Amino acid sequence: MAVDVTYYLVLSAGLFCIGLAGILTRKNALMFLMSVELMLNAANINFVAFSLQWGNLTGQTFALFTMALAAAEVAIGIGIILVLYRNFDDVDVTDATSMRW
Amino acid sequence: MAFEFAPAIAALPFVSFLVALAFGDRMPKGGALAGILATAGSLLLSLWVFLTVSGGSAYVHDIHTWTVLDGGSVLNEITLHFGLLLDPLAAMMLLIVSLIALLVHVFSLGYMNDEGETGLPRYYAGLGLFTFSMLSFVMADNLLMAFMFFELVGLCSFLLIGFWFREDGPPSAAKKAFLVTRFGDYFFLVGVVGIVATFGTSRFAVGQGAADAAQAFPVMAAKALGVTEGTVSLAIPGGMDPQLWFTILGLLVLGGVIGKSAQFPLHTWLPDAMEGPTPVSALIHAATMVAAGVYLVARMYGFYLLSPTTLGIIALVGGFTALFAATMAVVKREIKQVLAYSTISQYGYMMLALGAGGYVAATFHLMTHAFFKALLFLGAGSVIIAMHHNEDMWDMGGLKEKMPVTYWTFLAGSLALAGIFPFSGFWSKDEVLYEALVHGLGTVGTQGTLLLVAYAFGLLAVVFTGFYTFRMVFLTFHGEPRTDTAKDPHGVRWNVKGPLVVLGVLAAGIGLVNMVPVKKLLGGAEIDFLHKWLGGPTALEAQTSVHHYADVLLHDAAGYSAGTLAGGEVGTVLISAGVSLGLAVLGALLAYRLYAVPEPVEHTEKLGSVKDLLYNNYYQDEFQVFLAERVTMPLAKAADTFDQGVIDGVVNGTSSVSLFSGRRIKRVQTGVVTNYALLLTLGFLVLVVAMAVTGGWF
Amino acid sequence: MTTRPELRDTSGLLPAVAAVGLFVVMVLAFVGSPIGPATGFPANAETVNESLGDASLQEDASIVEENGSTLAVVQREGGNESTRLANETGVNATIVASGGQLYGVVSEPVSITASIGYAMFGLSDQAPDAVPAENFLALFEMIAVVLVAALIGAVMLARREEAGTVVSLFSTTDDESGATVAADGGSESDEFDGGDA
Repeated sequence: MAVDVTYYLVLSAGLFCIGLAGILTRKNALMFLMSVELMLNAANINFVAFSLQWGNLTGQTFALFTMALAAAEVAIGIGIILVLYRNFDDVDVTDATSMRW
Repeated sequence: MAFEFAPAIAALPFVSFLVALAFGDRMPKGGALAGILATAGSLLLSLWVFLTVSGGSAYVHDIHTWTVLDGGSVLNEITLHFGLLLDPLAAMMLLIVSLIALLVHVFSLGYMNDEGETGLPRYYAGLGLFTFSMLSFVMADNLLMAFMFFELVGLCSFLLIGFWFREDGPPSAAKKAFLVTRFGDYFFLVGVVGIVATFGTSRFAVGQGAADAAQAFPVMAAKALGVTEGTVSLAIPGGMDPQLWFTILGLLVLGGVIGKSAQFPLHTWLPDAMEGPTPVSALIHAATMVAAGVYLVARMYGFYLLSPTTLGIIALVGGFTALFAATMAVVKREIKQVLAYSTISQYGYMMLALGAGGYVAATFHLMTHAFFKALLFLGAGSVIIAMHHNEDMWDMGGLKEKMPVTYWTFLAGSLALAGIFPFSGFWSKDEVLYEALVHGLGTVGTQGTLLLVAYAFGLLAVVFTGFYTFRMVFLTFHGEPRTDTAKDPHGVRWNVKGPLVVLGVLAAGIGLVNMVPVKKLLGGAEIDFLHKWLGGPTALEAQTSVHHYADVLLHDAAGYSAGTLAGGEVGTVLISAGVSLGLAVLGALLAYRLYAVPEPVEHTEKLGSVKDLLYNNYYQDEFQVFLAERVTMPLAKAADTFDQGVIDGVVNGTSSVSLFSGRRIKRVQTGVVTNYALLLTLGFLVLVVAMAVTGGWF
Repeated sequence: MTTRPELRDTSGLLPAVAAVGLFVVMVLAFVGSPIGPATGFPANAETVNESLGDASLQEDASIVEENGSTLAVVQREGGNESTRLANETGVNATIVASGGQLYGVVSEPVSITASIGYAMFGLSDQAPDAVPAENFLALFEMIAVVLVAALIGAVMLARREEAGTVVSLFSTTDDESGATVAADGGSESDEFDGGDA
């Protein structure tokens, strides 16, 4: 008996919102990045769940690609955080507010 | 055939204007020759037109229709056009204007070129433009076109008065002239619009071949009042009494006339206009432009005759102005100022004549005055050249021997001005007073009394006229020279003396064309040539001929009739002529007593407190400045406050709203990335909920 | 003295509430949406399919394993007719009748990862019994490029310039000449302050 896809969706929604909450509330840039990763993974779960739903492997394959993309994004993200640190002496995202009104 | 070339009468001076403007600085006399040739051409063509009209033909022709308006159900189509009307009045005026323009151009060679003035192309261009405008005004066949050229001559007057614009006086005088006449022209414009809106046309007359639909508005008005036969449909506002409305229209147009012909109270600009060069004063402010107002009333006389009230006002204003200006002329020091007030006074006489029903008298006086006043101004110009541009009469004296031509022609002009027999001014002024007297005596009711009061003013002004004229002559030419310049005056050449001689002959002799007293004495001999000539061609018999005015309208519409004093008509004529001649001689003798001595002195102290009043021109200038500062300025300030506060305020308010809201809304961009993410999330949430609710997801 | 745990001082509760609210909305949407039962993946796929004859012979047909191979034997009057199904034993072989015919079928469990591999490289025509999927070869190449770009970008971002030296991934140079652009926000030196007017 297969698990109903709705549960997978709820799980993915929950993960997404946890990641979103992290983005909205964390001050440390690295924690910010981790939350972004969490949201990406929530999307991955969604892909795989629907792959089973429709009996098509596209979802699972695409999930693999998403992981690769996440890795690339983290590489650049770490680089940006590095430059941020050099300019503002801290990795606090609420400190870096030069581009404001 | 002559009529085919009629537009060239006005076009030639316009071409000389363009030539002087474009090539004047390359021409040897600065554009004078172009002007002289053009006005000579206009004179010849005017003469030809004059002869053709004398032969009994008239000409009414549309040159160009510039728009056709829809007049609604009552008026159908309203056509606005340029056209020519050449009837005896217009032909006579064309001749006068082109002749004096030619003489002034020649005189300017002596006054401006020989005196080494600069900026001559501008001067001759101004003269050319003026001549064009004045001739076009004279030939205009409808009131709107007349208004346009009325304004254009006002502009030329402004340009020419302010010719020496680098000094303080002339630009200020030019501005004053323009503003005062413009004030009157405002009422004129309202009147023109009123006439077009009421009658659907502003034509003075229509030709023989004109369509039934085109009628002249005086004719239509007469039909509307039942004076002549025929029915006509007019758009009178508010359903008011037609006579009242016509009176209002006539008074509105009169506003422009009073301004342009320098009648009280809009006379203040003319003495200041003497800041311009003397030939300009001779042409514009003596003979032609100020005549435009009187000419306009004469042109529309068929309309004015329908409203006795307006006629009475015209007569009263004219008579009062004649006396009023004459009193101010007696204390003036500069020769041109005396002549300026004299001009105001004499135009008062013409208005008096028109108001009293003397169409021929007014036209006659217009003609004689043009000649003798231009003569006097040119003579004054000659004196001014001689005196090295010093105009003060108390610095002159004894010029009689040194400048004989100037003296004798000036004397001829002065005798005409004072109205001494047998010079032209006597015949015309006498006829003016005669018409006022007989119509005053004969017309019943307040109208007659009004005319008699105006007559009294005019009669009293005769004394003053004689006095100030001969004061001027004696101070300038007689006695011993009072300064070195007077002892050794600058000589003048033929280009100054020639026009003086021509005008001198005319001033002396032109009175012969209409010697009404002689005619009456001789029991009706046909020597009133002007009167017969103004009777005009049969084509315009019922529209603009003097027969129509005098025989039909004067009695039926205006209610005038001629009365008599003792001795019937002949006796009345003799009494009137004798009284006016006697008063003129009285004034002249008084001046002789006081000023024809070797060493004249000022006698103004004898006037006592009146002297200050006269010297300051009855404080009219101060009064007008007071009106401008106390009445107009606060209104203008209030309007300005409204404009700045409300209208600009709305615009500024709109911008300040966006500025203010922008200043507040920009604070959303805090620079903190998590805030942006929060806004994103919230926005997304709201959108999803909205879509869910409307899409029925739940 | 310890204090009880407290929430870190963030900018109020609004962010958290927003996240929770979004979760609630999504769950409500998902729960209420009509998604049918899952299709799932097929457990087995056919690899060998041999025709054995008419369906009426079903009782006489059986699977036999001998000599390291799997055979389908049909008993006939003239003897046993055997059809080789596979060259190995232990496979899942059955006799199936369908459409009036008899077949010997060998089926294997489907390999999902194999199918993914075939799909990713665009080799789906070489895979006989794969689960259906789309061709991902193009995307595979693109992701490769993206990864390379990310690597290069990360290295470039890490490049550091200090006074006189440039520190990069594989090199550290000394005494860099003047006209270098401070891409990372600059250093403490005042050599290039724009000069005086």
